Amino acid sequence: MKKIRLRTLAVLGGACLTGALLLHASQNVQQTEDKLGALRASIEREREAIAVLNAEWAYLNNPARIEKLAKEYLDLVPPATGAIVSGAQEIPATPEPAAEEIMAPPQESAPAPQPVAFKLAKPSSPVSPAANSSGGDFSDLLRRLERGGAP
Amino acid sequence: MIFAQARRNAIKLIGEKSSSFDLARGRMVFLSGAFALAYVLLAGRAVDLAVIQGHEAQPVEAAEAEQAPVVPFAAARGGIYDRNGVMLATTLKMASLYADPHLISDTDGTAKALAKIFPGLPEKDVLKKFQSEKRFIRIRRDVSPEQQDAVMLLGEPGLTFQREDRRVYPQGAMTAHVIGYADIDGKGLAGIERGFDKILREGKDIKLSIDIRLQHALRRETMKAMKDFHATGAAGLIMDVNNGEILAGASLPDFDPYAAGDAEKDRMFNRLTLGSYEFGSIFKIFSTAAYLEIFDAPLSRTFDASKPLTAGKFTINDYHAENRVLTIPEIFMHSSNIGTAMMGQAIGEMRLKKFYQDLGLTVSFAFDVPEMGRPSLPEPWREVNTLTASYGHGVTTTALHVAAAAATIANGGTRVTPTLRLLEKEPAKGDRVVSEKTSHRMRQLMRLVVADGTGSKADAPGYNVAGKTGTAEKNLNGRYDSKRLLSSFVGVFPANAPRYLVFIMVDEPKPNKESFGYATAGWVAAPAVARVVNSMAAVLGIPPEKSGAGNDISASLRQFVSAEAR
Repeated sequence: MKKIRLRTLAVLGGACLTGALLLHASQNVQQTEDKLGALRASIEREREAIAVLNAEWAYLNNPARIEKLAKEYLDLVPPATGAIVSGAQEIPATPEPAAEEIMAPPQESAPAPQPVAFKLAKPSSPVSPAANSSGGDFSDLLRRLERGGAP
Repeated sequence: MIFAQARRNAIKLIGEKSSSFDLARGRMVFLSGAFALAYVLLAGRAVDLAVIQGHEAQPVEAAEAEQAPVVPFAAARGGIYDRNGVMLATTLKMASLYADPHLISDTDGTAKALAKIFPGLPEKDVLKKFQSEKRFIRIRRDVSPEQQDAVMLLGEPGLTFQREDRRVYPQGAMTAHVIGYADIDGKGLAGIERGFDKILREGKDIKLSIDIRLQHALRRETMKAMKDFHATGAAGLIMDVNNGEILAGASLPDFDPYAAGDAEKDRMFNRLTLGSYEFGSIFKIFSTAAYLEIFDAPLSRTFDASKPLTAGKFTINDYHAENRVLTIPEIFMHSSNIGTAMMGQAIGEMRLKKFYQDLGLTVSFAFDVPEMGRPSLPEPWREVNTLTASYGHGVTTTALHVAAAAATIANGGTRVTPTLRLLEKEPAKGDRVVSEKTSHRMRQLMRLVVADGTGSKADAPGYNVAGKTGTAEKNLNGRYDSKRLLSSFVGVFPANAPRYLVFIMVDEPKPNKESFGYATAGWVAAPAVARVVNSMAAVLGIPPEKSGAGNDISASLRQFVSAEAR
């Protein structure tokens, strides 16, 4: 009788153990599948976000917009004819200083350095990223730009 | 005690009913054996899947993970890019707000709240939609994430979002006529969107030969010319003279690609490819080239332009007539109709028609943009038509045709096929239309026009612009109107070995103060071309050449140009 009970116990125990292991593996697989699904969804969301950002980048780099901003904030204008030369030899040499200046006697004492007051220039309208730049309607932004409003 | 009793019962079983016990026992053994076998098989299969195939599957997993993420059921419409990869058109997923009126508890309150969230949406429109019987109505397209959150916060179960594809044009109206537009369902209706609709639907991207920086410069200067001279329209084109790639193409007025359906017809009209016009003196490039090619005439040959030319009841006059005998270079640089008509007379109807045909000016062709105009020749062709066709009247064609033909003449004489798609490799040389010698002489003549003739305002110092002005009276209802002009200029640079062609045409310019009352091509279109050339040089980094007689290919023609003042 003891022998039978031991064998039975052993078999039952093995069955339980196998069942437990099976359940564990099954849970693992399900969890991994869920994780995979979540990852795929988040990859797709990232892809969409990248597409939106690429479109926004292209919009912000529109040459007309850049030209407008460059003129307004950097005072840059298209180069005048003759401003571009074909080589270093075309650049005119610096003029020689006048002879009198070199021969002039040094001053008695250098003028005392005056403290210079710098006025902090207030930027006219700071360039700030548009309130709804991430996903706002492009046609709205475009229309505002065409009307001459802030970027 | 109990065990002893059980044992006695068992022995009793064995003794008396042993056969049925044996049978039962046999059945149990069989069943347990069967189950044991089944589990052994399962265990074996589990081992097989997990261990053996697991080892094989490992490298596949990594590769599969790369491509597996969402193969969309229908591929999103492909993107359109410029030659440098700048995005011109793309498809983004935008959320659209839908409502199921049956599920909305408080229609008034919800309509009010929605009107507050969406500034452009009137409350009564929303209420009207809520009255509908349908279970699924769109309230608003292209909802931003912030607006989405605001709608979610309303907590209304009848409101849902759906993600839909939306076509986006980051460059806006800048490439309006080239790109065209697509409708809500993603079907291309004009321009490249329509011309390459099939490829785009498959999800493939397209790279155009357009350079957005040059496009901006061209559109800016064409717009300036149109506005300065209060014209009704204008068009511009930048083309690579050797392989036909179109680097920029603008037609004004243009339209907002997001609102193309509501745009006026005039804005939608593509003046570059669809409009067929009489271009006037620009055609002197082609007739002079024909004369030089057919007769191999020396440039010193003269024609008597001292009197107007009559043919039947028609009289051909010169604008700002020189009233003297002119050499071929003088005829070209002063744009003499009389001299050119005489050359046309010498060429004759058959040869002139054939030459224009060889240049591709007489028939429409299939192009990347489906809106193409039809050239037309005078029908029937009378003797006077040979004369007028030589200086570009009576014959209508599109701006694209003219640019391609001018490129053909300037690039050494081989036929150019214009293309909007970026070329993967250099195309095979086209059919030869004129000899290298004729092409060189035409370049010299065109340089003379800019250096010293009607096109002097097109000169961009250092870039050796060569070209031809064309101021044509528009033909309306069979009559030529001297107040309505089509002023255009076609220029190529650098003159000695042209790389690019710039063409600008202005439709019905009005004279203004700065132009001293002139609305001719020399005042209207030529300066715009000079500005475009300067911008191109800056953008593309083309270094200027030394200006001066040493580098001017028209220098050798000066001997044929008399210094007589007008």
